[in-house]
Amino acid sequence: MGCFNLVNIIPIEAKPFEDFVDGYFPLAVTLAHLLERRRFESALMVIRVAPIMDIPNLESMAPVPLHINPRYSGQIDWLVAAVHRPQPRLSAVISGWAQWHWNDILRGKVSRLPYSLRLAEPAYVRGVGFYPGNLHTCSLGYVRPVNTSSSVAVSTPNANPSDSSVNIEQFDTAECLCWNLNQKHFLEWFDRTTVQPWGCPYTPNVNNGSTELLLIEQRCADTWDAFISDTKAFT
Amino acid sequence: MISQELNDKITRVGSGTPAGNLLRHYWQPAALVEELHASLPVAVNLLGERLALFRNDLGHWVLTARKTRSDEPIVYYPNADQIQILDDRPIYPAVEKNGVIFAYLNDSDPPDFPNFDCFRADESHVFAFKGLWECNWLQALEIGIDPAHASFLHRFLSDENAEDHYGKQFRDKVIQTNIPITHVLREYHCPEIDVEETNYGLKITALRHMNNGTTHVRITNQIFPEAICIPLSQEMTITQWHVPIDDENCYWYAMFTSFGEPINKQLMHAQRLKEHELPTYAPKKNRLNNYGYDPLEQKTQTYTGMGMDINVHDQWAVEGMGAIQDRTREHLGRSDKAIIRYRRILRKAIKALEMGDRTALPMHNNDQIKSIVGPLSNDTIALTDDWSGVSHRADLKRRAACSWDASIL
Repeated sequence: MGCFNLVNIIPIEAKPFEDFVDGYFPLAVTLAHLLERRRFESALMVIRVAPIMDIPNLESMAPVPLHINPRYSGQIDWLVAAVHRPQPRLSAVISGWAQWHWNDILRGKVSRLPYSLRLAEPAYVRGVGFYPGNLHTCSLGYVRPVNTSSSVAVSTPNANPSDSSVNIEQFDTAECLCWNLNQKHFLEWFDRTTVQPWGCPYTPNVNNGSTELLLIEQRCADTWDAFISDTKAFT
Repeated sequence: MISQELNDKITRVGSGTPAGNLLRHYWQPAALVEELHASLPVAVNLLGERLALFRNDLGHWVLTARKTRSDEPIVYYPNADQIQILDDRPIYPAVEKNGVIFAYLNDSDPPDFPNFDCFRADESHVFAFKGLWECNWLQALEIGIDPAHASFLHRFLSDENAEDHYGKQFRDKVIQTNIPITHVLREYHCPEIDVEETNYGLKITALRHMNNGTTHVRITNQIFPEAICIPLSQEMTITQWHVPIDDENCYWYAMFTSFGEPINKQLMHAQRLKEHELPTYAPKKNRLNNYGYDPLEQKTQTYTGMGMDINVHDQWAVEGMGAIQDRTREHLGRSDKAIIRYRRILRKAIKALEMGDRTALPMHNNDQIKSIVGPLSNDTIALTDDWSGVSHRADLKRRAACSWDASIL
């Protein structure tokens, strides 16, 4: 192992993907549809330069207006989110970081995106998905540990110590990229001082003992280059 | 649906606008060489600027601003002696490429040209033409990257004699088959669409799954920022730019490129002059005459009732949206994958320029740009399990037999 002081590093089954999500529904519903379609328990995904809207007093399943009003429209410039859907909910739980702007300057730089957020048109997403299993994580739900080699792992304070015995020696944390899967609910304004995105080597100040981390081995980064590049876009 | 602010950002092209700034980082078709037979300078209206094209003291093509009248029409072709060049304005470089003059309206160093087939083919194998559309450039482009529209807008209710297909879009047979393209588009109207980001823009694959485990494969391309490259026939491709004259008018510039015989330019020119007026290159069928709409033809021959020239169908569709499409009222769906993906690249590029990062623009790395070749663009029918291989091999075969260097290795 590398010189890290991480707890419970557990290799998990993961699959990179790219897809289109439909928009118009609340983002939490749209992303739940994506997870369902791909049979994922959860995912870490990135969306770039996507138009958004937040329509006041619109029921989550009500049709959107035919015409968008500038008062409730804007754009996500960059969004990286951990998404999972606790059964039997119809909507996903989203946490992560983003940069965005609203056309209504009175909304200013509110530090959180609202739960009622919608994509204003279908969007292209890149990400890495995780299959359902019995490993409990804070941000990714119950994911599937693997007995064979994997290039992806989670370091989670939630894991049962016995889980971490699985192939831990096979995961080379000396050469990995890390993403901080913080547990703050829904999307927060990206702030360079409060998040440490992908980094190699791993920066110790991220590890406060309670933070959940996603780790991807550097050797497979080429395969996932576009995804990782997108996640780094504003870091 | 996007906000009016964002729609303005991606459509308006005047100097200092975000999209205008982006387009000014790419070579733009400014005139056809065939327009330069009269004396110089020649008026060029491009990206909202009123310019004059002429040769400088070194004999190089250049453009600069010219004096304009307030009542000057949008498309204006005065005699050379009526053009007054303004002093102390920026001088923009221009170059000639196989029948088209390209201009670079920026004071930064222009990027190199990629090795697209339309640029490297012999002059005898490229024919260039243009046409006026009275609408914003972006909606003109976006129809060209929607693979599903052809099954409806360009639907022919019967299949024309393929002997008469030369120089016409969608009138040939699929490579190595006797199946007319018109038949495929008409009978299989719900393609599976795959979009792949490339170093030049997008590769767009439309798969129409047919009977007996076969699939029609049509590969088209979006070349960033405002061109497409699509098959015309078994031996020809079209590389077509949608070039803003101003916010509400654009020219399509097409470079027809043959991988087979030299192009019969006289015939192709005559075909297009039947449909266009000179010197404006305005279509004879237009809003004023209902685009030639004939209800009887619509009942018996075509989906639109607007004749056999598919350019008219597209023109009606994009001009009918209004001068600048109101995207605050649009609702894109999953078949709009290529448009969604294109707008993502467009918005990313605009954002990159706003942040001062020109290196993030597609095709702006001169170390790599010469390695950009092709692109592959063809229609094939393949066993569904091997559609990608069949399309690729058909492209290689066509290139191997080509009289000019069409190699892509």
